[in-house]
Amino acid sequence: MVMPLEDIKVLDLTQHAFGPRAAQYLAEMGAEVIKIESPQGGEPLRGVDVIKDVSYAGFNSYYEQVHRGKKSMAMDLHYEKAREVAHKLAADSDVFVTNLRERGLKRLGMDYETLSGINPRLIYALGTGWGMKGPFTNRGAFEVTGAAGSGLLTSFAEPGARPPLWPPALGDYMAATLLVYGIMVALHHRSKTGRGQMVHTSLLGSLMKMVSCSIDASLHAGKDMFAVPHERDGALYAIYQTKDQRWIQFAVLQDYESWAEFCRAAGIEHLTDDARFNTRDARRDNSAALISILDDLFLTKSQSEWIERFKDCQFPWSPVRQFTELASDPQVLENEYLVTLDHPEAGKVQVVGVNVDFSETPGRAEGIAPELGQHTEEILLNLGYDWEQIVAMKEEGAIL
Amino acid sequence: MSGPLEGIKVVDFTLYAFGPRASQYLVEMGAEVIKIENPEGGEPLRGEKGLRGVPMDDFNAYFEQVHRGKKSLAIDLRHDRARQAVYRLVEGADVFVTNFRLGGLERLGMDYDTLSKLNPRLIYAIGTGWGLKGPARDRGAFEVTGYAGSGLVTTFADAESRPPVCPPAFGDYTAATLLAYGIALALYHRERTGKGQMVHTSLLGAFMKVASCCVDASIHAGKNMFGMPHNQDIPFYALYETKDKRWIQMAALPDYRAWPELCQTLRVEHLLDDPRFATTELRRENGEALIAIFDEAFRTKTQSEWVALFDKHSFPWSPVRHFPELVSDPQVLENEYLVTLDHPQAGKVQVVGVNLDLSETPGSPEGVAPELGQHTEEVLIELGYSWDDIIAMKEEGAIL
Repeated sequence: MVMPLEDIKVLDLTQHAFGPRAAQYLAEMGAEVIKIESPQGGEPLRGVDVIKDVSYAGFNSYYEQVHRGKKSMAMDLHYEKAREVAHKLAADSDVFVTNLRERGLKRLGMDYETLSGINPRLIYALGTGWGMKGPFTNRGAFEVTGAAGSGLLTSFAEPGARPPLWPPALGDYMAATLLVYGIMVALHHRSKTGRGQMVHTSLLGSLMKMVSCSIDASLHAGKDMFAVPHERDGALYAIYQTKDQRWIQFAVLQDYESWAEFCRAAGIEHLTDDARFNTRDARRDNSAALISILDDLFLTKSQSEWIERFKDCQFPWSPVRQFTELASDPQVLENEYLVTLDHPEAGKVQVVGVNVDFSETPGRAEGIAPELGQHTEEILLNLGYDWEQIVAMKEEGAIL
Repeated sequence: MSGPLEGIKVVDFTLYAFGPRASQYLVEMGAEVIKIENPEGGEPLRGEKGLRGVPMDDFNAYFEQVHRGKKSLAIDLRHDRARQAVYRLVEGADVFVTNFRLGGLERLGMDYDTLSKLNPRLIYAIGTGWGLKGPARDRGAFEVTGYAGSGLVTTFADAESRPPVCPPAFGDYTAATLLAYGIALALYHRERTGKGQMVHTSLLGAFMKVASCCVDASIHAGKNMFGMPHNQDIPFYALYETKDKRWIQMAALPDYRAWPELCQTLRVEHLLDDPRFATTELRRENGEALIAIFDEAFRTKTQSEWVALFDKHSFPWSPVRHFPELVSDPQVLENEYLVTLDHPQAGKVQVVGVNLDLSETPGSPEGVAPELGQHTEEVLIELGYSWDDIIAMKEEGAIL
């Protein structure tokens, strides 16, 4: 089996999570990804040691997850000679990925006009915070500003309530997934026409896309869509708390068979044919009564006891997992949604895998994230630079 | 300029939001998408009347957003003649997209083995709830079971609190984005080798992927990454309530250089001389005290007053929008993140656009979602069926 992007070369001038994730998708599929980093510290994520209150203990997963399998070239693009190298790499690349601010890209000679002039076949992929036009174009952005600016945050809280703290990197990874879809569409198009182009999305635009169902409905009705209280989404499409302060999620729709199966597993067979609950409409009309019965019921057993009782049910349900439990979840392991890697410092680590499956050309969640500048010399030698030139660039400070 | 997927034919055998969104991504990029629907009612989303208290009387945004520009073939696959017609369609198609359960696909003869034999160039894209293997393989799923089963929903609440009800279709669209990326990648690979394949992701796998930063860190530390209470947050990267009960999201990093500028804007200049906040480290150490001061400061003005004051700042910040406000947000409009379409029943509607920009081959957000079976005859005639055949199939009940 071949890797589908085996002969694709990617130049990565990215930082934090949005850009790095987009390029890492390509690394998983076999592309060679060269990341250009500033010799002064390089990628900012290298320095992260704790997120929320989970500390990293020898394995910086935030950084590793989106840099695995890349090569690092430590090079200061403020130097003319370094820029020449970057332009040579761009001439030889299929894809360029960046999420630096546009002003900075122009200053560094890494803007679309410059690079597409050097290589008309190049796919120039850009992730921004706010889009390429409009009054906020020069304002900085992180995923939370996209979650706020798109309205997405409001739909996680009831009116007046504080929206939750946004999970780290979730919005960046979502935006990156849309961007990498764009990159692949552009590569497909290039294989037919020979022409490259610019591909762009922003945190604002991509998060609006993910929540477009709520946006379109809200705009047309002229009414906002907030989160709804527990009681409002239907008794069988809800989260219930268990005896041990954990949660179990049900997502059963309308049919009688699932209702009967639910009653059997929950041990409330006496309600199966109760006229208040035995049809979808009846359950909706008497939703508050049913929810109050189920709220009490689920508090009588622990989450694991309920899992045991529901495990053969084929209607949609799930325990609310904590991340640490995924490591022993057979569903997760059999599908290789977690894979085990060897890491030079941390030893064996379990990390999230490729998680998109290809029957003929599967990707690979292998490799480790590079040390800063680990491949600088190798890449320069490949470009035809000799050791004297490399030493001169080091002395100048253009490379690490 | 033309869509990069012009000439690509897609057979869409999907329901709800995950599958429909994946193939709608292809419509936007110029592909022809034919949706196979059951003549008895068709796509379940056609019946939606409202979501979360927002009515959808004459414009079913939930359905439209993911069916715009598709053709509808109303055909009952339990009839042998109907199945033969779909096989003929698949023989001439490039991509097949489905999110039916595996058992149902086998029963209807729409499984990968059958279709890939008919057409070895076919990209067979499947979205499941739980993956292709494992004990939950045949269990039903909706996005909420994916939020629960991946642990994602736990990051939206602190350890003791009830996780929020997530926005509708948000997870489905996210998983669909990953699947569409896989489809584009498989098309690119086929362009070079002539070989089709199966592409798959699941709600469980896709959500783990977008939450992988939290998953990896939690597993390695042996500690779940929950949400955190507001006062434990990073002061410059937190959400503040305004006088009018709205919110402003700040997103500057802790080492933020413009600390003096921020203090001036918030009218808390006295903090500049406060030894508790003199350095980046101290501001982090005394974060709780700083947040309390900021909380009070933000409550002295309305959201729009703060927007006017912050407007000049280029550090990352955003008001938390309500969806209906997006229609007058210049940033949204200038980037065409909302577009205006003509809809036969609803008239002019504003909807979320493509939100992925390709400079040479931009997609198009246009089109209307089809009536059930609107294109049945057209599709069959193109496949070479005669009117006699079509009438016979109608009489049999195989088509609408």
